[in-house]
Amino acid sequence: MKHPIVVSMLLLFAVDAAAQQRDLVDLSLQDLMNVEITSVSFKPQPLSRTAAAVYVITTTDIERSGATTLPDLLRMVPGFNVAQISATAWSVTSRGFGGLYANKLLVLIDGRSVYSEVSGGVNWGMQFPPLYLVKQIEVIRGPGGSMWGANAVNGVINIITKSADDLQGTAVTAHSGRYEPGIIDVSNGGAIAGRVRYVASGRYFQRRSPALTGSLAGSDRAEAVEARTRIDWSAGRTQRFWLAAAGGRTGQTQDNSFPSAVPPYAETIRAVFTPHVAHVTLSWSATPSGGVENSVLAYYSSATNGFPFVAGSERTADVKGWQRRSIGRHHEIVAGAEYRNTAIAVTNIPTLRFNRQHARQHDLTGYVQDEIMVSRKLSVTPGIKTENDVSGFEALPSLRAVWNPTPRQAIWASVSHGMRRPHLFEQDIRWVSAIVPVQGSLPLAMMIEGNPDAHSEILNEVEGGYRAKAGTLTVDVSAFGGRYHDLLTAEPSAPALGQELGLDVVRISRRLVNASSAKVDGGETSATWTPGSRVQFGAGYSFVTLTSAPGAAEASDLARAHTSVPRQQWNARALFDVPGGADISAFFFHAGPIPAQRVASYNRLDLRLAHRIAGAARLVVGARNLFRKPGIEYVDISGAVSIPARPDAYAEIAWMF
Amino acid sequence: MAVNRGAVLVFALLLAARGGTAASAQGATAIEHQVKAAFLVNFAKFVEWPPSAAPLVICIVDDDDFARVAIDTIQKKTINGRALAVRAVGRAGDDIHECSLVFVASEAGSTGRVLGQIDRQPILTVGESEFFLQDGGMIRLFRAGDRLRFQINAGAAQQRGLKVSSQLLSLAVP
Repeated sequence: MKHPIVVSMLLLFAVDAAAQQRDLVDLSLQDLMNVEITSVSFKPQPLSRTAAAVYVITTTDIERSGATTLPDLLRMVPGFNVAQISATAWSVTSRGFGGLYANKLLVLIDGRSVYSEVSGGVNWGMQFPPLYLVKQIEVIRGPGGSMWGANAVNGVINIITKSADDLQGTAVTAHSGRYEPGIIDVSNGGAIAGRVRYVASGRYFQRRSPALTGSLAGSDRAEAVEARTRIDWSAGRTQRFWLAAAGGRTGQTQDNSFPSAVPPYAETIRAVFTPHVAHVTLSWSATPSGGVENSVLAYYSSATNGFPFVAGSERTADVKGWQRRSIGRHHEIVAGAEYRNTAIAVTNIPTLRFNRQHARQHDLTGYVQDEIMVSRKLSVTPGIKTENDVSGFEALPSLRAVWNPTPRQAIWASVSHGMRRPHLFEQDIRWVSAIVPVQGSLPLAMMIEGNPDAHSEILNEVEGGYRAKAGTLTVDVSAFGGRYHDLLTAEPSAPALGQELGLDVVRISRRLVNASSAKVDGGETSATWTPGSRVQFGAGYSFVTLTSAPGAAEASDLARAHTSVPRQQWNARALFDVPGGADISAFFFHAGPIPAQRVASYNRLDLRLAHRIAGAARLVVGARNLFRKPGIEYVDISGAVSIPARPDAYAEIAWMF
Repeated sequence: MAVNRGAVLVFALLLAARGGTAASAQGATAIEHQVKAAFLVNFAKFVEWPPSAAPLVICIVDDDDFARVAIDTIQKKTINGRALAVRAVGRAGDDIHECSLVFVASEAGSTGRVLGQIDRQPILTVGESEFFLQDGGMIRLFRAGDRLRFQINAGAAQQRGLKVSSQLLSLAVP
């Protein structure tokens, strides 16, 4: 980086401000409507009244991060553990329990769940939405069962996309980088009639391996095309509808290490697979009078062939409705119900077999919460969600309280409960994870067996936090302590003779049982300092400790190692707006080591420079993973080959008409 | 674990640069706030309240930064012969009944709660939340690209004895 350029750009700040001193109050309304206010980039985060560890990624954060994938964007959230496994696979979790199929984090996009009931967790390799379509991401760490239901165990991510109103006009973006050689995004928005607006967008997306070795390892890549549309309609003053539909396919290659029938009984096989995703969502909301809001959301979604080697599909039909109602001055009640029907189909391969190849799941849930304003400064919110599903009837309660000693400070505490249902893999799987030759004897087949009687994993957690806004500074601190019960672990069962991969073997099986418990505690803190609307600094730090309860079988060591996350992480950012339409962003991340996986700690710096040229066009250049020795970030239990992350540079040009 | 020297250098540079920028950057925030404050004054100009000699009180709910700018820029103005006063109020909506115009910033959270307290009094409500008009608010101020625009729910104003001039209505986004 050339210092003189940066310094001279920063000097420009001083010139601008003085020039803009004008008394706007004397302008006519017409003139006022023409005043440009683009420079307002950094709105300080609102001091949330929620009694939970909430972090909001804003439109500005999304743009300035330079991220092209959702996992990379989530790196900035304190307490989140994001690790890239390959070009198309990530471990994304909150407060521990990582993995390619990290299964304790619920993710919703515009109210639609993208959590897989087949494998648990989110298949990030199937989620490559253009990030310019995302309006904001609300991240809630800790159990969210009482509101969000099953699988919101250590966190919930709500991704809110922009409405057609936000995307009027035509925009074309072309992006090219070392590991994303070609991304093209096109969108067009307009009015169909009066208050009915539409936006249609298309995308071509490519990612390739950071390994670039030419050998088999490092062929991980993805090539995606997708189309989406959304129609927004405000009917009268009180009703709003939107309809969104999208479809896309991703061609993927991923290397997996696999057991084989011939010495050395293991090989790396390249999987070529083509996930398809499609969904259609309809939303209606109405506010018939001041204190009441009614909403209904229905969607159908389909995801097929999301896994290497195993063909399969997951189709979900879901309808939910809820009402928010203020009763008097002291109560705000939210109550809702949801029905979901999930149909699952999978195929068998020699190393991975399922007892059922088709399954259908019905879930009926209901919830209610009441925010009680006990006094002007104190509110208490009890809430409960009930679930009726494969595991029978379950109740997920929580109690939250927030106290505002002054309007700019909030102290909150909560006791909450999270629950994760066993998914199809855990109930039905028969997985040969390795063939181990033994001198003078039959080879051993190391196996994991599912358990149809597996029941839900439970987390009970106590959390507390403090948020404050003092002038240009905001501070957020949270701490948590919880206990997991009935964690599924693979416990050894008696060896048996059998046949696997056409070989006579001794099966060394481990069966999944709800046998383990664990203690988790930790804390997160973040701060932003916005000395002006052209400058913002931020920093975050988090630590987490997971301790398995003594007595858990040694077998769970394996699982423990493979769900480990760095104990400590921190990040920092600096954002500048340069008058004349340019901006500079720097994000720095540090993640501690994961000794159980022999993953070293790493530092990464992402830089981005954007400049508005000729009015409607914008040029962006950036680099990611700077100052970094190539290194892997995660070793997953599934056998997905870990690819080292390497520095990367990119350029992007966008036109808006 | 050693942090790379290059990274440290860049950060030191960015931090060092900050000192010179802070003061001027403050002005830019003020500009957005000034534009908003000017909009509020204009709304007040084009709305007719039931006759009163008392000052027109503009209340800013739960946004101290904006309230400070509004006090600086519009406090001493007069509108149609009435003096203007600006007041910052908390989100619990204390003293809301003395206000002539209530502004609820998008940051202020529960718009419904504030609106619920206004009841039938002739108070002009201006807000930024997406559903502000649906919630029963009167004027929604919002960003469209680089500029500010507004929408009006004239019915809600009329119900509370406020008259919105046709000039204001004609500039509003339908």
